[in-house]
Amino acid sequence: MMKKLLIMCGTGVATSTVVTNKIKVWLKEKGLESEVKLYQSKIADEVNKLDEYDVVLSTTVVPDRVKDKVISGVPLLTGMGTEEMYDEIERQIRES
Amino acid sequence: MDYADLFREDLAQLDAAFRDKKELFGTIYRELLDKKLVKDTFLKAVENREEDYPTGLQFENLSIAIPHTDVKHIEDPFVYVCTLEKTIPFIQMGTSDTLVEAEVILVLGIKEPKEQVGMLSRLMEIFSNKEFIKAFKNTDSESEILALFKKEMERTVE
Repeated sequence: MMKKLLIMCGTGVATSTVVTNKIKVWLKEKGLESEVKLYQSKIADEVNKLDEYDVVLSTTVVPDRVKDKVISGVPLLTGMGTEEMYDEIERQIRES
Repeated sequence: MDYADLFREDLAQLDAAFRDKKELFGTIYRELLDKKLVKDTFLKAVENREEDYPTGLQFENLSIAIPHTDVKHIEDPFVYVCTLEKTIPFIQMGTSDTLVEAEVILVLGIKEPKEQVGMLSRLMEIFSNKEFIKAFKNTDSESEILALFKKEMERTVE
C-alpha cells in the first residue's frame, strides 16, 4: 500500500507548495515516488485527522498534542537543516 | 506569469523606520490600499495570520519575514519589498516562540497560487544564496534593489 505523506501550512497554498515541489524531486531521486502519495492542505483542515497519514510535514507550528507526529518543513524554505529533515522523513517512510 | 512584474519601484522602501510590527503593517497596508492592490480586509487578515502562523525566516546570512494571507484579500498580485533601518522581531515560521530579528520584509500578495508560488520558491533560493545577499546588502536605492530582484526572477521560468 502507498504511504501517505501530508504537507501542510497556514493557508495550504504558499509555503506548502514550495515544500511539496521539493519533496517531489527528492522522492524521485530516492526512487520512492511510487511508494509515497503526497497530500497538501492547510493545518486547520487536518489537525484532527493526522493519524490518517504516515508522515506529516508542516511549515507552521502545530498544537503540542500532535507535535511528536509532525516534522518541520521549514528547512526546505531556508536551506538550513535539510539533511536531518530528509533523514527523518526517509526513516518514517520506511518504518511506517 | 513573469515573476519580475510582481516587483515594482513604487512598492519598495529602503531603510524604513518602524517602531514595531503594528506600525509596519499599518503603513504598508495604507499604501497597498491606495494602489488598489488589496481589499480593506487585508490589514486585519495579515495581522491575524501572522499571529497564528508566523512568517519569520532565519536564513544563514539574513533574517526576513514574508507576511501573507488568503487570496481573497488581494486585488492584484504583488511583492512589497522593505528593508528596515532597525530590525523588528518576528516569530520564526513553524515555531511559537523562537524570535527572528527581521532585517527585510517581503509582503506577498498572492492572488493565483498556482501562478505565483514558483516566485516564492525562487525567493527562498535567492535568500539562501550568499552572492545574492552580498549584492542585496550593498544596494543603496530602491531602484537598485528592484533591479536585483527582477534580474533574479527573470532567470527562472517554471
